[in-house]
Amino acid sequence: MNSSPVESFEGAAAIFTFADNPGVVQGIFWAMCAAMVFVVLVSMIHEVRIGKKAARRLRR
Amino acid sequence: MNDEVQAAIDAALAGHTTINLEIYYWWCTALMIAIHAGFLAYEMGASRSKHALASGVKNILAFAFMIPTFYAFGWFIYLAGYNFPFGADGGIDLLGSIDVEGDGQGGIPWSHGMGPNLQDQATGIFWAAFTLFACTTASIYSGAVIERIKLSAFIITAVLLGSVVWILGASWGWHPAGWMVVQWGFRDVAAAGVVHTIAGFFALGILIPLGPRIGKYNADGSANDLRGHNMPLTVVGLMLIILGFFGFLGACLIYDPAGQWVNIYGISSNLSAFVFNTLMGMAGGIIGAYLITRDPFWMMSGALGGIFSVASGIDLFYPPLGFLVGMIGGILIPYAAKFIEKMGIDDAVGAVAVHGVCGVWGVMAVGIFCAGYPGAEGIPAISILGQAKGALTLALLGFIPALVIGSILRMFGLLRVRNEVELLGLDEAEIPSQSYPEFARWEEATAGDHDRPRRPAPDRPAPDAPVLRERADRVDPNRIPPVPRRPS
Repeated sequence: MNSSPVESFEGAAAIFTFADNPGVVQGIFWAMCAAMVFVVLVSMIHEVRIGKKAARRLRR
Repeated sequence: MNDEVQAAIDAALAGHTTINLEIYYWWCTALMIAIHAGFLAYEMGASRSKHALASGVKNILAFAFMIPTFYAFGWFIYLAGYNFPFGADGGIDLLGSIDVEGDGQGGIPWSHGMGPNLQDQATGIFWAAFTLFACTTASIYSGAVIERIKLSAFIITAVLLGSVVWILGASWGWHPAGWMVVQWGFRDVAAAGVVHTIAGFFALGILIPLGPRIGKYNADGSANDLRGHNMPLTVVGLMLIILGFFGFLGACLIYDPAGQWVNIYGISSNLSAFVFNTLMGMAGGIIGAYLITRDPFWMMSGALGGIFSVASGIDLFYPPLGFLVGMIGGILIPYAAKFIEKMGIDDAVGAVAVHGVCGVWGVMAVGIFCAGYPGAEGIPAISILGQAKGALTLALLGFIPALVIGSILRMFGLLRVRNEVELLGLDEAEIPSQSYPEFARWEEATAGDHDRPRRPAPDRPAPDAPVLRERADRVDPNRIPPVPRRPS
């Protein structure tokens, strides 16, 4: 498929670092998903707080 | 000896072909980033100055969330969802219709193709191109909801659009084995339907529960024109989007090692056909909008609308026909925007008109002007009925999920910022910097005193609080969707 000399090295065709350890790969994947969910939740809480703060400012 | 030379030539050619494939999509992807630079400028300029940075943050985060979520499930949906929800017998089979064991394997995030792999020089670049398409759908939608949507709500809805809804539509109608293609002969070569129609109608589905901006409508129902603060920035942004669309359209072609480009349906095509109609459609769109409005905002929107109008038949139209199709798109946009405004829907940048309406028109134009054109082997020819059914399917695919998720978020008070935040300005409330600090009123109050903080202390009343209070009292509550208030 390609002319890279790495292709000829045993076990080096796939250089995906964790290719032989699917448990670690999936763990990292779910950590990424959790990080995104966490950021959205933090954003929601932040928006509630600034909403209250803006309301207080306008009431004064 | 001759065999050895031939083998060496073949090997060199194969290597160059593979590398050219990578290079081509790499630069198409890079060029597509101009779309997002353009949308960023466009939406910030179309916002009033008190919301400008918040609009920009929304665009930046859309970009950032779309990439990992498209990695997580978007690419899998495209590869595995082409028959969803129809099973092998043609009946509904929600789970059985997903091709998990076949093509879908390549889209599973922990498969060997979804990371650095010397044996795979295609997955990464195709994934990247599709990811940028996904980011484009989110950018299309984001302009419509500026100045009042909560950032978290925007992220959730943008991910639903970019990494689920549009890519499912692409799997149905922009995939050689998609059921809309196989059953109806649906043709949408440069994604007028699967990108623009879906994104435009998704925006409409969110705008209904989101409601208009404060001040958009008067008590008698008449609309006010809430002009953005920087029209030149908006117009330049639109021009940047056009630049980026050359990358987008280029990535809609598939580089074939045999030397002949094919479109997404595997039918022979080429860049020359694409560029004829891209430019002619764009010119037609500008002229059409100029004819109706003479407004540079709508003229540049017409340029985009013209490109989308020719997109479905971009490799089929005779270029002057592409011009006329684009011109009709440019004419439709201002009327569609006015109609939507009269319906009480506040689309801040005309996204529904530009993308939704021109997307539908683009899909239908192929059915009108190219009916009977043959499809790939075993695929029905283009028909007006097939295109109409396809346009309707894609519009509903965008609209219904948006309406549902928008209504749910609104029910829990998670969709729209509080009225006080909207009146004060999203920038003042949310952003720790200012778009134009030299012009801020508080700057005047602190003139000559350089030791004081550059921003008002958090507990200090806003300089224009009395004005805002008065405006808040004048707001007609019937024109603003009720936003659940939490006790403060």
